[in-house]
Amino acid sequence: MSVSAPPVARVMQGQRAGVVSRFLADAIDLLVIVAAVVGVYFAVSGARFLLHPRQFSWPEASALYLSTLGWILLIVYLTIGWASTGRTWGKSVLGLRVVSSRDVGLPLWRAFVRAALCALFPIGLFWSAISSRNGSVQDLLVRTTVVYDWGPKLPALQ
Amino acid sequence: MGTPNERRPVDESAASPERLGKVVPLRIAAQPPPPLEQLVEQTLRIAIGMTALASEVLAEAVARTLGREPFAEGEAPGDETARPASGVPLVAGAAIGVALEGAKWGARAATTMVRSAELFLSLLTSPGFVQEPLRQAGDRLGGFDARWREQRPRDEEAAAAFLRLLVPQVVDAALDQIDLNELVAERIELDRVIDGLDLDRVISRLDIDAIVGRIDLDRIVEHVDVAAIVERVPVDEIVSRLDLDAIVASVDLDQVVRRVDVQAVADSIDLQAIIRRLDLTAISRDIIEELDLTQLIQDAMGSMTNETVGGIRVQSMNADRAISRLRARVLGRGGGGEPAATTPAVEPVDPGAGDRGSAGSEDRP
Repeated sequence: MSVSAPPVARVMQGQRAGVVSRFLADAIDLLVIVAAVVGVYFAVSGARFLLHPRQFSWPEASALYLSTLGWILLIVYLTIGWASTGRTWGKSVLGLRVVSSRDVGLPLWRAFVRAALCALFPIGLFWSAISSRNGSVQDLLVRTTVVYDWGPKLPALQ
Repeated sequence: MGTPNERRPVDESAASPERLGKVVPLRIAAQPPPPLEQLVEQTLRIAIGMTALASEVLAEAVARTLGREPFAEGEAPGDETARPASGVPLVAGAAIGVALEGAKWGARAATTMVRSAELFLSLLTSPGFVQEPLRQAGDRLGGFDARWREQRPRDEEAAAAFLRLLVPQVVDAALDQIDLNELVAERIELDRVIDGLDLDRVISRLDIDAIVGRIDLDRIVEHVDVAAIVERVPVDEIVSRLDLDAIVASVDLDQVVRRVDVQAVADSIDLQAIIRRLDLTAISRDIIEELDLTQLIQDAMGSMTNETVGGIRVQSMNADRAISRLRARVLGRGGGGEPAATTPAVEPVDPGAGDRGSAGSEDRP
């Protein structure tokens, strides 16, 4: 998502993002995952209806089952987003990007680890409110950084 | 016996056409009668002429019954005088001529005799003893004459009634024997009749509306081959002669439009049939291709979304900076509370420049 930045935002490009922007981006990603879980539920229901229309009934899904499904979807979603462009849809909306400490791209395994850590310990995000480097627990463990980046492409290496 | 001048005038009411129907009443001549000699001669002429005509007609009729034409081919009737008669016609003509001459001499003789008799009678009737009986006889005859005149209207009426019954039957019988079409064709010069007609006067008497009302136009139109008529019309030539600009300029279009019942026209249009004939799918596809609807929607949505997203991003940036300032104040760390006070993760990039921006990390040199 390319948005022309006003002067006040232009000077902030490349700076570490704060907790508010990151929390909003993660909230959007959470909504995406909830929508995805609902979509999967309806897709499964539709498949059951097509296979057995006479015996159709809405599938009973426990909270554990849905939570597990959502957790798996969240890991996959975050991994793909960070490993490809460095941003999920939530971070794209807020103009954020996850970059590694060595280069702009994030390897798949590091993206997967960071996604798993975020899914297991989401509250670790709020460490960025205390950290002077605006880093969450996951950033500290995987050595990543979230920066303001409104550009459509990855910033070039210096 | 009274003279014609002494006769009473004819009862006009008794002789009126309404009373007598179609029978024309006998008109009494006001002039004195011709001399007896002429009367007799004329009567004989008429009798002989009628006899001749009758014999001729009878001869023709008899010849027709035998399947023969009374006249030779190329010979018109009435041309008998053109060729000398012979045989029976000659004898018959001679007999008629003799009879006519005899009639003339007979008439002269009769006239002489009548005049002599009148002279003789006038001598006989001059004495007084004869006058009285003659006067009485005259009175008696006058009484009979008056009685006849009284009964004359009734007699004429009875005769007229009889004729009214008799004449149609006679006419019907006569017409049955006559081919009127042939008769008209032979005897009547239609051109002369038509020349004498005042057609304007005839037409002015016609009730055109009644005539048109009796015409079954639908039936006539069914027999009309409109396609053949149209094919014979040189439309191109007619159109080339028309000054369409002048015609259109002379039309009061406003008045025409006011007269048009648009609602009725719209009701008469079968929109469903028209829509069924339209290839709406192809039309829609063409329109969408022309409009590039996707690009249009993307542009519209993009401009709105960019404004909204830009606002959210700036607001969140401000909130981040506020959190940083609070953190610095609470934890006593320096740097003015700006996130930028911390080590820049990457160099500032120009969002509009795309890949022209720089990136880095805390571990970068």
